[in-house]
Amino acid sequence: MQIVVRLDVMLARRKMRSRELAAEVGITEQNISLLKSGKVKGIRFETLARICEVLDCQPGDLLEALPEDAV
Amino acid sequence: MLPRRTRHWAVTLQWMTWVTMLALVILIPYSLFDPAALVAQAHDSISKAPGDWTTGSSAIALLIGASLLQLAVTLLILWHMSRLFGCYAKGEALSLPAARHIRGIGIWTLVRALMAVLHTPFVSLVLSIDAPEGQRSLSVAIDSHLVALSLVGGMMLMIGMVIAQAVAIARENESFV
Repeated sequence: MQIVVRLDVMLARRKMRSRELAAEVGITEQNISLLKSGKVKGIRFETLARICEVLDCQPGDLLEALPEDAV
Repeated sequence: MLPRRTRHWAVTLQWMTWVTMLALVILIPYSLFDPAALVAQAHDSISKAPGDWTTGSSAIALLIGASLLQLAVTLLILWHMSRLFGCYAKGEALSLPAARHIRGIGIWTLVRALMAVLHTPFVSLVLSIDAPEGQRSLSVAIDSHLVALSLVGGMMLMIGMVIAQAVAIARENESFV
């Protein structure tokens, strides 16, 4: 299984830019970009909670578990 | 990044290490050119009078070899020190190269302590090997200085290993957002 980050989809739904999200969550735009591209080893619960709060969503809306061959 | 003052100190210490290495490379081999002094020093190190045993050329060669080996290990310790100070001079406090050099200092200090422990039996054996049967001797000596040197070596080795772990943890944390 592989975890795929659906942050870009959620940002599009909320019509929000990465820069705004970064500012509201309190992390760098670079880290948001890394998170969107899935180039991070993990996400802290604290960051995940803040993103969910800002985007008014659940962690399941941002993360999806897919089989390796489905990616 | 380390503060500027710390980096300046590291540069000074790196220079001091280089000067010490240069002095050792010049002075110790120079002192080996005087076999009489070397033999007298060897006798002194095992608390024997120089006239107690006759020392052959092979024994002198072994003593010179042992001294050069000790010099090589001391130079390795100093080389690791200079590289460590070099890391600090560049501002790398918690880095894998710094941890590797601290570990190197520890390992070679332990080797140096072991060599110092083996020095007395080796010297007594070399000096008395040509003596008639019954007059050959094997001395063993351990003093607090050697114990302290071993503890310092062990401590440096541990610090190096812990820093390497800390670097690995820091790198892992960096990949979390």
